[in-house]
Amino acid sequence: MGSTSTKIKLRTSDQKVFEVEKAVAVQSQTIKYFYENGSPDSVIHVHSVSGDILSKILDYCKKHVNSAAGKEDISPEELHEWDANFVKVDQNTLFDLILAANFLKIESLLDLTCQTVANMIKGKRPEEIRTTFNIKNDYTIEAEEAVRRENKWAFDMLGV
Amino acid sequence: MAMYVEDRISNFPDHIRCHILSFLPIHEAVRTSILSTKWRNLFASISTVDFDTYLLRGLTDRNVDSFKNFVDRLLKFPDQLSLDCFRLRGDEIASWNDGDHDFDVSGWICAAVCRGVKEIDLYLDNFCHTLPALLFTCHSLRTLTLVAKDSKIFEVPSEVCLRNLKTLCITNSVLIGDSLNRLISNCHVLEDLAFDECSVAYAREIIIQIPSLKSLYLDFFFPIGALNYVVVINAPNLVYFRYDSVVVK
Repeated sequence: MGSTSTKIKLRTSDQKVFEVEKAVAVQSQTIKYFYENGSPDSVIHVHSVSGDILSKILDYCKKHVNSAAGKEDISPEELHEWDANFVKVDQNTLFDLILAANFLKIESLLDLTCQTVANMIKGKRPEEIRTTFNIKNDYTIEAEEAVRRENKWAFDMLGV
Repeated sequence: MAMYVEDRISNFPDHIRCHILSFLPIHEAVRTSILSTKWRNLFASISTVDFDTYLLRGLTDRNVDSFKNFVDRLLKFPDQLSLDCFRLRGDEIASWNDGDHDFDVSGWICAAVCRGVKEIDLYLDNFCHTLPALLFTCHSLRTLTLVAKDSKIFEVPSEVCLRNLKTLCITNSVLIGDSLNRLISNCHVLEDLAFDECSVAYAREIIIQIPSLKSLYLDFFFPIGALNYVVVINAPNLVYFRYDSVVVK
């Protein structure tokens, strides 16, 4: 067997073990680092990622590896649409994906998920953003007014 | 059905929340400071500073000072993290340094350079009077894109050393004398070079000798009757080359 079919073993926070094609697993800079600096047969512990989330993330990596390698005939537009569907998940899953992408160091996935959260903020009034993410306003009325005054220009922008 | 009682996002590490803010227009990023005390100063750590014309048009006259103050605080904080990108966008109608505005664009660029900026992307009315000499010796810079509103004179200072520059794109400029040659003379890792709708004046020779160069795009217009220009290209690793100009030697 050639090196293309080398498998890497991963163990998640809930003790699930995944055997993953090397090309897919090393999309994660963290896994790549552990693989290159440990013994090739050892199981890599992705201790802050659950099995459910890792499984989703591996789907993402596989899709992107296959499309980049030309194994799958998918246009950039189709991949973009696939990405857009990939992040149509509930908020908790989205946040889990962000934290996992951050831990695993998968830059494109971190961008995709953070962009998704940014889109949930965009164009909303502060009160709507607080409701969306369950943020509790802990400013006093005076303190809130001071924050608003400090960057008055941003709160006073025309046409927004 | 989807009820989230817990506020997870506010407890994300700062760098992740900053990354989220970097996908927002800057005024919206700043407005998150009102959400709660955990968001108070987060926007000050963003690593991409992108001012677009939408922002330029949306600023009311009485808020210009408030905005200037904000930019000074944002860029000139001495112990801030390095900056990934500084971008001033413009269009045919408005730019950040045109006659209608008196922003300290040179000062902003200097501050970005001092913050170790990696990418600078500017659409300005006139470079020559706005670009500080400091920009041309910026060692952190990887990408430099300059677009002039209308065709404008561009004279490069005598000392240029952009040793980590990988991408350079100049649009709409008349490069005076030895400016062009000087600009690229110390770019030893340059991979992408483009001069779009540019011309040279008071010069006979354009010399592009960059072994690292992979892509070259030249779109020059030459003064009528001045066809005896010499263009020397020595780039053994070139993969892409496009030349949209009159035939020269």
